[in-house]
Amino acid sequence: MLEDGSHKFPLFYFFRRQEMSLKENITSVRTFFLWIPRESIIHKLHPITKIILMLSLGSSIFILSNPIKIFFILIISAILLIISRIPIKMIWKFILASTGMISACVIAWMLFSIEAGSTIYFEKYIEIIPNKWIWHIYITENTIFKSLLIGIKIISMILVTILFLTTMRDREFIYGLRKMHIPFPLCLATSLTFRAMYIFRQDYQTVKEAMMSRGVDFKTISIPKKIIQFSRLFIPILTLLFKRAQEMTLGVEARGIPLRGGKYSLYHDIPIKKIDYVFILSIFLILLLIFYLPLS
Amino acid sequence: MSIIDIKNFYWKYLGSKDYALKNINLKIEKGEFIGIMGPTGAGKSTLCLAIAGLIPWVLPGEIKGDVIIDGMNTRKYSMKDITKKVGIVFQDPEIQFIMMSVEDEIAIGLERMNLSREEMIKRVDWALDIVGMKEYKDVSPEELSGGQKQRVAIATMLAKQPEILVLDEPTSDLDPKGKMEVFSVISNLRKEFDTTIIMATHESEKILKFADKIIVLNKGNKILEDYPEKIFSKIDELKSIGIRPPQIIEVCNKLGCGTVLTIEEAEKVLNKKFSLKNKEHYQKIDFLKNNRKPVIEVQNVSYIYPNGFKALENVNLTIYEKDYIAIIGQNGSGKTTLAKHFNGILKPSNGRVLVYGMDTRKTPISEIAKKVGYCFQNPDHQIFSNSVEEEIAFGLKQIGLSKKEIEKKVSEILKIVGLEEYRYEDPSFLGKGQRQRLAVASILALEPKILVVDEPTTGQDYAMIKDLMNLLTNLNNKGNTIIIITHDMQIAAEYTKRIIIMRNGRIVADDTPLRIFSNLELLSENDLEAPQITQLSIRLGFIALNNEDFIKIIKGE
Amino acid sequence: MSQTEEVFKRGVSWMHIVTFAIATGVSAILAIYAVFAVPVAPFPGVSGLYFAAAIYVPLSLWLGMWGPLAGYFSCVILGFATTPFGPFSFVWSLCDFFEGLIPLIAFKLFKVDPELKMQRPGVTWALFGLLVLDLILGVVSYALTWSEVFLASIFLSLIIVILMGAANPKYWKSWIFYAIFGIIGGAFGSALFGIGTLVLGGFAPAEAFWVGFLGWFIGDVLVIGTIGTILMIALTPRIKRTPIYVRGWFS
Repeated sequence: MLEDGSHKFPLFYFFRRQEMSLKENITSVRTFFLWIPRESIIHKLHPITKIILMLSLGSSIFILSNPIKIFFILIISAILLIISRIPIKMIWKFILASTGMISACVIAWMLFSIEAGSTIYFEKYIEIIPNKWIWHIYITENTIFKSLLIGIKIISMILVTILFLTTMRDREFIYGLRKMHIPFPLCLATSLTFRAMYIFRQDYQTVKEAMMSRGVDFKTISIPKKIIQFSRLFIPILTLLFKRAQEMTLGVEARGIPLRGGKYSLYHDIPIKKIDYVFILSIFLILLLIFYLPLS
Repeated sequence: MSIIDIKNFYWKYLGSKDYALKNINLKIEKGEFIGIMGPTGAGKSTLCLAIAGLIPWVLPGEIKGDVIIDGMNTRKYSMKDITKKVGIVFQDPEIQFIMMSVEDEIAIGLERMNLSREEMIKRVDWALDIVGMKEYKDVSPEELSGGQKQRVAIATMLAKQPEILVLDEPTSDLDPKGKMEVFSVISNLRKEFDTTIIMATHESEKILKFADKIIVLNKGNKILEDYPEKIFSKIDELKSIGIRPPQIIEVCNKLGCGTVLTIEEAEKVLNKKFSLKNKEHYQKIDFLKNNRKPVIEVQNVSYIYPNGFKALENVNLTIYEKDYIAIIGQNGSGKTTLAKHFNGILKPSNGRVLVYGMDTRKTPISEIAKKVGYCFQNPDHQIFSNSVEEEIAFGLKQIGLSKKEIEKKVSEILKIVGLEEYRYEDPSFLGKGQRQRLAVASILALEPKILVVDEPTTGQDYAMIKDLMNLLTNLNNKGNTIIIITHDMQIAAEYTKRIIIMRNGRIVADDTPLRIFSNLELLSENDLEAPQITQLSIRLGFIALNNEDFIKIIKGE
Repeated sequence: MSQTEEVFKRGVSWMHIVTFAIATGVSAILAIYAVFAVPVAPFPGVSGLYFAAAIYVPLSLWLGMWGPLAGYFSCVILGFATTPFGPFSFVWSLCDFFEGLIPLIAFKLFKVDPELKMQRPGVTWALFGLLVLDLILGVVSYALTWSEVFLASIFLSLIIVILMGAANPKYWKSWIFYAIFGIIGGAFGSALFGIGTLVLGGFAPAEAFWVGFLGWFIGDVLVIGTIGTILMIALTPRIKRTPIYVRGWFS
C-alpha cells in the first residue's frame, strides 16, 4: 500500500482500498471504480457531465486521424487530470503499466503494416515457412506515422479512462444513468453487475482455498491439470452465483419494485448546475475547434 | 380480523416431489411476535416467503389455499400492494444488497412509492436511526459486518413502514454481538410501532424471551402452536424433531421444577427445592500438555492482508495431539485467518507456523493437506463434483491412490458420515446438513490427523448439530486433533476441551471450558456469553457446562 | 377451499435481469483477467486464452439471449477498462455477442438439448482432444495456404464429430451441435468479427489480421473445448432444474 492509498501494482486496481484524507480524517472507501476523493471542480461535476465528457473525448480520439489533433486532446485530458488533483504518480503508474501494451502495438504496427511512402527506412523479407509464409517488414515514413498515431491514441484514451474512473464513483455512475432516464431495470442491472464482481472475487478466493485444502497445488501442477482444476473451480462458483441470483431476485421482488411501468421519484436528484452546462459547452467548442483546425 | 390469516395452505415447488407446506392454518393478530421453529427442511422459509407474497408471485410451483394479509389475498394482489404491508429480511445478509451504498439500498424501495424527495430522505434517516446505522449512510456494503448488513436490511424494510416484518433466520450467520443487535432492534420495533413480527429461527433461548407465540413445523406440517412456555415444556417431542429447547427449561423440567423460563426464576426455584451448599463443580478433563506432542506451533505470527488490514498480531499458540479446541470471538477477531495458517492457505507475514515440524512457508500445501484438513463454513464452496462418490474421491485422486483403494476408502467414509444411500446423488440436490457432512467426509477421506471445521453449526438444526459434533467427538476419541471455529457457546462448552478466545487479531484467553465460561467478566469484555446453564450454575454457586453435569451436581451424583 | 393452481411465471421477470447482471459481472472479471494474463500483441483487448469465452457459450445455452447479452456487456466493460477503444467498444464487443448467439440459435432452432451426457466418457474425451488439435491445425494450414492439409483437417474434423455422435448415440445431437456451433462456430464468428472490427477501426494493421485471428480462434477453441465443456457437463443438469434455466429465447 502506497502513501496515497494506491496499490503497488496498478494492474490490480479493481477493489483496492483507498484512504480518503480530508482534513486529516481518514476513512476507508472501497469502490469498483478507481475513485480518489479530492476537492476539485471535476469531482463536483454532475455524473452526466462526466459521462458526456468521457464519451466525447473518447469518440474524438477514435475518429481523428491526425496525431497533432489527438495530442491536443491528450493535453486537454492531462489538464483536466491536473485540475482534478489526481496525483501525478498515480497517472504515471498506469501509463507505465500500459507501456507494454503501447509498445507492443506500436512495434507491431511497424513490423506488420505495409504503408507506401517516399522514404523506405527498412525493408526485409523473412521466410517463416518457405514459399508459404514470408514476413515482409517494410518501414516507411507513413509506417512510422501510423505507428505513432496508434501509440498516441492509446495513451490519450488511457488518460481519458483514468480521468473518468478516478473522478467518478460507481454509485455516481448509476445516479447518472437514472438521471438520463435509462430504464430502471438496466440501472439496477448495472448496480448488480458491480456487486456481482465483488461477490465473485470473494467466492473465487474461497473456492480456490478450498481446493488447496484438498491438496491441489496450483503452482506445481502441469498445464493440462491446471486447466482441469481451474474448470473445477468454476463449478461451485457458478453454482453459488446462480443460487445467489435466485435469492437476490427475492430481495429485489421483496422491495416491490415492478419490472415494467411504475413511476419513480429519484432519491438522488442531483441538479445539473450552471457549471455543468458551461463545462459541456466548453468541451464541445474546444473539440469542434480541434476538429476543424487546418492541420495537415 | 387477524392481520394474517392462512387457510388450508399447500405449496409445492416446481420440480419437487412433495409439498413443502401442507394444510397450514394460522391466524396472527396485529402486534404479535410469532416465532417459527422446526428442523431444516420443515418449511419455515417457505412459510416466510408465502407471507411475504414471494410465493406465489416469484417462485413457480403448485398452490392450494389462501394467505390473507390484512384483508388482501396474496394470490390476487400484486407484490407492489403486498410489499406495502409486509417487509422481509433474509438469512444471508450478502444477497440483500443490490445497491452501492447503505442509503441507496434503503431509498430504492421508496422511489416507486410516489413520495417526495424530502419524505424519502426523512424516512431513510429515520430507518437508519432506529437500527443505529445513521453514521454508515454513505458506506458501501462491502465495508459492513454481517450484523450491520442485517440491520441495514431491516432498515430497508422499515423505511416502507410495513405493518408486518418477516425475518427468515436473520441471525444464523451472525456472531453473538450481531445477534443481540438484531434482536434488540426488533424488540424496539415492537415497542415503538406495534409491528407484527414473524421470525423463523433456531435460537430457542432468544425467541423464548421475545415471542408471544411459537409455531413448530415439521415436514411441511404445523405440529404445534402455543405459548413459548407450553411449547418448550414438550422437551422430548421437540428434541425428537430436531429442535434444541432452552437449557434452563430442559434442566428444570428434568429436575421436576415445572416450566421455568428465565435464569432468575430458575435460581429461585432450584434454591428452594435443593440444598445447593458446597456443590463441587465438574471439572472437564484438563489437557495434560506435558504428555502430548505439539502438532501445530504458531510462533510470533502476524498477518497483514494485501489491502493492509492487520488480521493477526504477534500470535503464539501450541496445539497438541488429541486437542479438541473451540476458537471463539467476534467476527473480524482473526479466528478464520489464524485457522487458515494451520493448513498453509495463508502464510504468515511475520513469524512462522510449524505443522508436525514442517514450516508452512516452505512446505507445499499439498503436503500439509495430508496432515491438516480444513472444512469451510459454507459447504457449497468446496463441492466440485457431480456425485457424492466423486466428491469424496477427489482428494484421494490428488494424493495418488489407486482406483481400488479409492473405492474402498469412499465406502468407509460414507458409512462414517451416514451418506451411503446418497453415493451416486448430485451433491447440489442434497439438503444443507447432508452437504455439510459431505464436506467433512471429503476432508476425512484424506485421513488428516488434524481437522479444522469452520462454523460447523451455522444454519443447522439441533439434530444435525448433534450428529456432526458426535462425529467430531468420535474422531477426537480415536486420536485426531479437532479445531472448530464457532459462535455457538453451548457447543463449545459441551463438546470441546480447550477454548481459545480471540479479539482484534490476538489471543486473549486460552484455557479449559470450565475456566473460560466461569469467567463472566472475560466473556463480557469480548462480547461473548456463557451458555445459559453455566450462567445459572454460577448463580447457584458452582459451575456446570452442560445439562447433564448440571443435573448430576444438583442431585449430588 | 381453493383448487390447486400451477403457478409458473412466464415472460421476462426480475430473475432474468438479476441473473443477466450477475453473469455480466462474472464474465467481465474473467475477461479483464484474461487480457492481462495472456495478451496478444498488437491487438489491445485481445487475449490468447480468453477464459470468459468458456462461460459465454454455456451461459447462452442456459440463459437464452441473456447469455450473449452478458457476453456483450462484459466485453464493453473490458473495452472501457483495459483498451483505448472508448465508445468503439460498443461495436467491437459484438464479437462476444456472436460467440454466444451462434450456438444459441443453432440449439434453439433445431430444438437440441444442451445437456451433454456421455455414454463412453473415455472415448468422448479422446475424440474431443483430437478435434481441438485438428481445428488448430486446420486454421493454421488455411493461414499458411496449405490447401491439402486444410482439406484433410476439414475431412478429419467431420469424421471426429461423427465418431463423437456414434460414441454417444443417445445424445449424438447435443454433442455434434455443441462441437460444430458451440466450439467451432462461436470461436470462428467471434474471432472474425473481433479482429475484423479492430482492423477496420484502425486499431490493428490489416497485415496482422491472420496473426490476430489465429490467436483468437485457437485460444477460444482451447478454452471452450476444455473449460466450457467441463462446465456444460457438470452444471447443465443442475441449472435445468432451477427457475434460472431459460427454455425459450428470453424466458
